[in-house]
Amino acid sequence: MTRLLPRVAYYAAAPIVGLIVFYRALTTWFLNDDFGWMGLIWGVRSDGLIRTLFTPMAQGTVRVFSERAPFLVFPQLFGMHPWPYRTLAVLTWIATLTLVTLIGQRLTSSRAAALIAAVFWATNANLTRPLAWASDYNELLCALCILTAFYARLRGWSIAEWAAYLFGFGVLELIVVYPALAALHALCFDRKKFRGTLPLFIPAAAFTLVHLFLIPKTTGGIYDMAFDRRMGATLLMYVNWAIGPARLYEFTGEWHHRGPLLAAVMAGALLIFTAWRTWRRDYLPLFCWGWFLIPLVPLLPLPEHVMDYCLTTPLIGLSWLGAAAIVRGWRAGIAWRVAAVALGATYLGLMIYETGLYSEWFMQRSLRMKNVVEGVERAERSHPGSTFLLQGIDEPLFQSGFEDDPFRLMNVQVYLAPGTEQDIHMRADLDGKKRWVISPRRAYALIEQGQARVLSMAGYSLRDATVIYAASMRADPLVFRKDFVDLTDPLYALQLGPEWYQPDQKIRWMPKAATVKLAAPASASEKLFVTGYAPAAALRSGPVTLTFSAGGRKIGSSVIKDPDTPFSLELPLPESLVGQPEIELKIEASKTFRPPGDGRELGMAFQTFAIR
Amino acid sequence: MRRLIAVLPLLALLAVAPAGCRMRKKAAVSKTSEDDGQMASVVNMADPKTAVQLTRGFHVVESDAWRWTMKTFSVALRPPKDSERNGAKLQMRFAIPESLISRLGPMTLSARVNGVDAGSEMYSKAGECVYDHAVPASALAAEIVIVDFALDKALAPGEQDSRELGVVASSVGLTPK
Repeated sequence: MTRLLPRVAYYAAAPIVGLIVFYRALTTWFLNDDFGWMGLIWGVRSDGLIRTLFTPMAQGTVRVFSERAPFLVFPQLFGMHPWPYRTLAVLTWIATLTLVTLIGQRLTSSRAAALIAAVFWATNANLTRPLAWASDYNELLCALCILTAFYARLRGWSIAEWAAYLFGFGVLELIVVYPALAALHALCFDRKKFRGTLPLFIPAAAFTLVHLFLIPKTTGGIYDMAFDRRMGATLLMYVNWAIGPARLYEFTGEWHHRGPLLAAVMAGALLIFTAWRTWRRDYLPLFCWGWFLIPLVPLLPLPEHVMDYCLTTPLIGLSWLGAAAIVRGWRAGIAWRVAAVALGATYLGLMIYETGLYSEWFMQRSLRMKNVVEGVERAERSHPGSTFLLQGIDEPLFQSGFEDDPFRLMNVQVYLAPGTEQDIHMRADLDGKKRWVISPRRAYALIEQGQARVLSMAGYSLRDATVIYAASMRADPLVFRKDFVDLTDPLYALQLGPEWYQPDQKIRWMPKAATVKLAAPASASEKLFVTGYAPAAALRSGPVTLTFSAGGRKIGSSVIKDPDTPFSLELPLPESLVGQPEIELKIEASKTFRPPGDGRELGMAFQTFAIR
Repeated sequence: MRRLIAVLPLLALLAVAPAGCRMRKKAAVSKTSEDDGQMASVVNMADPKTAVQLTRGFHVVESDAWRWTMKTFSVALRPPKDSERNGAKLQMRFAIPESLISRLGPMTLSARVNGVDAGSEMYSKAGECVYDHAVPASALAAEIVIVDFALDKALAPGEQDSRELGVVASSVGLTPK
C-alpha cells in the first residue's frame, strides 16, 4: 500500500494537472461537423449499417472507430448530450498520458523526465479541440493507437503491436506514419530491429495507395494538395504553434511578437540540446524530432488546412525532448539547472495560460450554439410544426455550426430573418446562402398565417420576438413589394398569368408565351433577374431564344443553348418603367415542342423572376 | 532527481493557479422568453431586445455599442405618447469616421417617417453627429411607424470591407417634443 500510493500519484499527476487546465474544454457542447455526424443514423436507415460505416466520406475518410461508431451509438443511447463524448475523450486521453509516461521512462531512463513530458503534453493548448470537440476525437484515439503499438514494440509484444496498429486504420489516416516511427526508433537505438519494422510498411503502403488512387474525394477548397514552397511555411507554422505560446495574441491582442519570439528561443534551446547530445552519440533528441516531424509530413502539402489539432501526436515527441533537456540541465550544474527550470516553467506557465484562454473561447463558442439549438427546440415544443426565423445571428455564431444544419436533426425548418444574412459569408461548397434565405414577403405570409415564429438572439439567449417583428413588417411597404416570384411556390400564384402549367418539382413550364406581374423598378439601376432550367428535350432541335417585354416594349432577349443546365439571365430595364405601380412581364420562346405521351406544348422551364 | 520530481507539483500548482482563479465564472443561462409585443420608441444599436426593429440596412453590432449602416436604412419605432397630436422629434446619434469623410466628402442624411419628409442635414466634419428634426403629427398617427433614412453617399464594398458602409449609428428614436 505504501508503495502503491506514490505510484498512483505519479501516474495520476499529469491527468490531474491536465484536467484542471482543460476543465472549460470539458464542458464544451457540440459544434460544426458534430451536427453532420449526428445525422449518420439516417444513413443507416436508408443505406444500411455496413455502407454507413464503411463508405468513404468527404476527403475519402473511413474513420469507423473514432467518428462513425461514437456518432451512431451515443445519440441513440443518450440523445444530444456531449458528456458521453467528453467522457470517452478524457478516458482515451488519460490512457494516452499513461503511455506517454511509460514510454518516456524507457526512452529517457528518467521517471522525472517521463512525468515532465506527460505534463507538457497534458497542458498543451493544441489539444483543446481533440478534447473539447467530438469531431476531433480521432486525433486522441490515433495517438493512443500509435503509442500502444510503440509501447508493445518496446516490450516485445508483437501481436499487441499489430493489433493496435491495424485498429488505427479505422481511426485516422495518420496511422500510416507508425512504421516510420518504429523504423526510426530502430535506427536510433537498436539497428538489429530495423528489418523487423519492414512488414509494418505493407499495410501503410496499401492503405496509402487505396486512399490516394481508388477512393473518390471532394475536389477543390481547403483540401487541395500543393507541393511547393508553401510546405516550408506550413511546417514553420506547426513548429511555432507547438513549441511556444505563439497564439496568445489571438486571444489577448498582445504577445503578437513575443509569443513567436519565445517559441524561437525554445526551439533554439532544443536544437542546441539536440546538437550536444547527438555529438555525444545520444540519439534520443533526434528520435524525438523525428516523432514530431514524421506525422507532419503528410500534412505539409495542405497549405489551406493547417490545423492545430494535427499536432496531437507530433507534440508527444517534443514533450519527451523538452523533458529530457530539463532533466539533463538539472544534472549539469547549478547554472544549467536554473536555465532549464526557468525555460521549462516559462513554457509551462504561458502554455497553460494560452490553454485556459483557448478552451474558454471554444467553450463559449459552443455555448452560443447550444443556446440557439436548444432555444429553437424549446420554441418548437411551444409552437409545433412552425417555421422559425432567426434574427441577430452573427457570422461567428453562424460558422459555429449552421452550415452543418443542426435543425434538421430536430426536423425543424429554420431560416435567417430576411436581410440578416447580408453580413454572413457562407461556404459555397456547403450550399451557400440558399438554404437560409427567405424573402420578406414569404416570411411575412408565414408569420401572418401563424406558421412561423421569429426568435431573436439577445446576448446568449433566444427570445421570441414574433409580435414586434410582425408589427415592423406590417408597417413596412417594401415587404409587400412584388419584386420576386418563385414559380413553384403557391404564395406567388396570384402574380402568374393563366398560361403557366402546374409546377413540376423545382421548375414550371410555360407554353410558347406567358406573363408574370412584378413591381416596377424603383430606379433605373434595377435589373430583371431570371432563373430557369433548360431540359435537353427543349433544345433537341437547336437553341431557344427567349424574348422579354413589358408595357408593350421589348426589354431584351437571350439564347438558351446548354442542355440539362440551369440558366440565369440578367437584363437591364428601360427607364420608362420606373415609378409605374406594376409591370406585366411577357416571356416568349422562339419555338416549342411536345414530349411523347404529353399533350402539352412546352416552351421553356423557369424557376424565379426578380427585380432588384 | 527526486528533488526535481518534488519541485514538479509546486510548478504545476503555480501554473494552474490562473485557471483556478477563473473557475468562479458562471456559464450563461439559456432562455427562450417571449417578447411583450411592446415596441420601443428609441432603439439603441447594442440592445438585442430592440434589434428586431432595425428592419433593414444595418450591419451587425460591433464592440457591443454601434452598427455600421448602409446607404439606406430603416427602423420601426413606436411613436411617443400624444405625438399624433403634438408631433415628435426624430433623433439619430451616429459618428462619421475621419477615414470616411476624407474619401467621400460632406454627407447628407435625410429621413422619411411613414413616407412623410422629416428633412435632411449635411455633415461635413468627422466625429460624433446628431440628426435632430421635428416630425409632423400627421406622420405619427399609426401605432408603429417606419423611418427610412437615406445618405447621399456611402462607401462601396471593397477589398478591405466587403460591406457597403454609411455611418456608424449608436441610437435612433422618436422623443416627445
